[in-house]
Amino acid sequence: MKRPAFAFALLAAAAVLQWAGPVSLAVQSERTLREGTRYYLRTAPVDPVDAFRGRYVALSFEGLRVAVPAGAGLQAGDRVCVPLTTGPDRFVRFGPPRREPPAQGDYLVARIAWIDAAQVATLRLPFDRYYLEERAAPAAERAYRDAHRAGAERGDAYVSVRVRDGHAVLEELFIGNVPVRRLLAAGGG
Amino acid sequence: MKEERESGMAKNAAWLLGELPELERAGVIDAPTAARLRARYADAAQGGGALGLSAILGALLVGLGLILLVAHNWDQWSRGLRLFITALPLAGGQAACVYALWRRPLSQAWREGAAAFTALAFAAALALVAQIFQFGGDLDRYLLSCALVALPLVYALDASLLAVLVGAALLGWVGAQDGAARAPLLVLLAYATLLPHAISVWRRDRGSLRSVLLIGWLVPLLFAALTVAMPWVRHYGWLWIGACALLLILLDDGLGGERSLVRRPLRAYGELGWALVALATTFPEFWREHWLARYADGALLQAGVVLGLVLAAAGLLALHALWRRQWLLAALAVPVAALALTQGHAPPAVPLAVFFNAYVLAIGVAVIQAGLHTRLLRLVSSGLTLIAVLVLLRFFGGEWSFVARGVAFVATGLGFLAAHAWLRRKVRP
Repeated sequence: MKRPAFAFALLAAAAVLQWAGPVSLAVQSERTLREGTRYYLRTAPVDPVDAFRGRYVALSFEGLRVAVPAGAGLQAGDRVCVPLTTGPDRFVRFGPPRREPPAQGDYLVARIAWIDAAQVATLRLPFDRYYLEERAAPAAERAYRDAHRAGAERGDAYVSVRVRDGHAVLEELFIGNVPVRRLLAAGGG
Repeated sequence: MKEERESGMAKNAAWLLGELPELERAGVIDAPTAARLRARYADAAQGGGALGLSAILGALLVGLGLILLVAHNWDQWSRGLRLFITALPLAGGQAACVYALWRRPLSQAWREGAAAFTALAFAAALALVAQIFQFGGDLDRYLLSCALVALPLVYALDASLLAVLVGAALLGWVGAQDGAARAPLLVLLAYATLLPHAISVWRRDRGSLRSVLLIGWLVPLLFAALTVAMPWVRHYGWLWIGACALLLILLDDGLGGERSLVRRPLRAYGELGWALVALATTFPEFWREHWLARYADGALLQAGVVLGLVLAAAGLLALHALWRRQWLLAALAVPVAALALTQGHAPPAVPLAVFFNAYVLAIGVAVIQAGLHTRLLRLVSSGLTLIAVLVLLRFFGGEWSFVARGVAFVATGLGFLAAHAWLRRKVRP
């Protein structure tokens, strides 16, 4: 500790970084949840675990394959802006991905997972999991399987997402049109 | 009170031991006095180390426990409450860091413990924000963020345990990345951020438990991260291991010091890797079937910039050893050179295997001779172990006929007897 001033400066830099990341993420996400437009996405949940962030249901979404506009010059791994519209069944439709945000309308920032030979891209959304209390996640998956076996359509499992200025935050997971937490509290699964 | 007194004594002893090399260099004390002082105060210093270690371990376990508590997901609580609660350990950790720097700058336990705890509290805070707002996977980005944000703490608090945690997080980052996104040069750059700390600790406390553990962990972490980042390097596995091992041995030699192998992690890893490769080359099958020939297309450059850099650095150091007439050290480069030169060819397997049997035997004898010459028991036992393993491999291996093995054993045994007789004549007064 020969240079305490330098050490304190480094410590201050570390403290700023340590607060800046989580706080900016939390503020931006909170604002999106409050002010963002709501969209619904069909999904199928399964139950894995993350050593750091706990147990969650992994979400496998429908409709992620979109045609790449000619001359867009996109590649797998690229960050793209995807226009959003709502279909007649109230679920979201993804528009053609571009590098720049659309002039009007909502969009979300996603990544291109891969592009096939027919120039159809598969999108990787910024949300692909729904965290639940460690005992609730397997119960949610069971509830989904039970609903599926009972003959329910896959569309019965879906999420609501709030979108604002390209930033998307997952709001709620529904199974059989009931929010999953309410379903589990009522003894489902 | 007794604990405090012991801790103070340990701190003073550690300080004195740290000062000895400088006092010796400055001519204030001579080497025998320094050795006597080392023997006198080594136990006391280790007592302090044990005390500090328990404090550091405690902080580490509390930090890891926090992450597990966060992972439970207390989703019956409001978002605001969960964010507030997760901010508390981070704020507490930062306060501990300020206290450690301000009031206890000489306490390694405080600095290490506070730094590790704060970094883990940040990891927990970031995980909780991701959990509350349902962010997607990207474990690689999460681990990289944790590692990069912890870096200033490593240097601010001179925290070696945190440096190892950062090294482990970087390995996790590489492992969690998509194969296509892995960039070996970026991995080198990421680990290079820890290099100034490692060098600084090594210079100040060469041979201490701290520097041995720091380097002893960072070297295999870097090796593992590079290996994971370069899938193609597995096709060049023996060359990769051999080149890295040779580089470690030559680097260790350049850094100097004659401490035991336990206190020289570079040398220990290097010798182990070198012995593995050298012994593997003694099998004819290795040259006949080894995967280099199957996968390589003749251009060593395709092995990539990193392997090229490691080979170039090892080659330069070997040439330097040659120039300084360190024959034994330079000779250790022979297996790597042979592997590099036979890339993409179908080399004559049996002559090469015969050559490398003789080579390993010669190296073993030379190491024993060097050990006897310098009176270093470690070297003598290293040479004996190498020869013993070679003998066992040949005795039990079925790749040579009984007659060939019998003749080779008898000839080598006679050679040893002759050498023994010659040595006795030379040693006798």
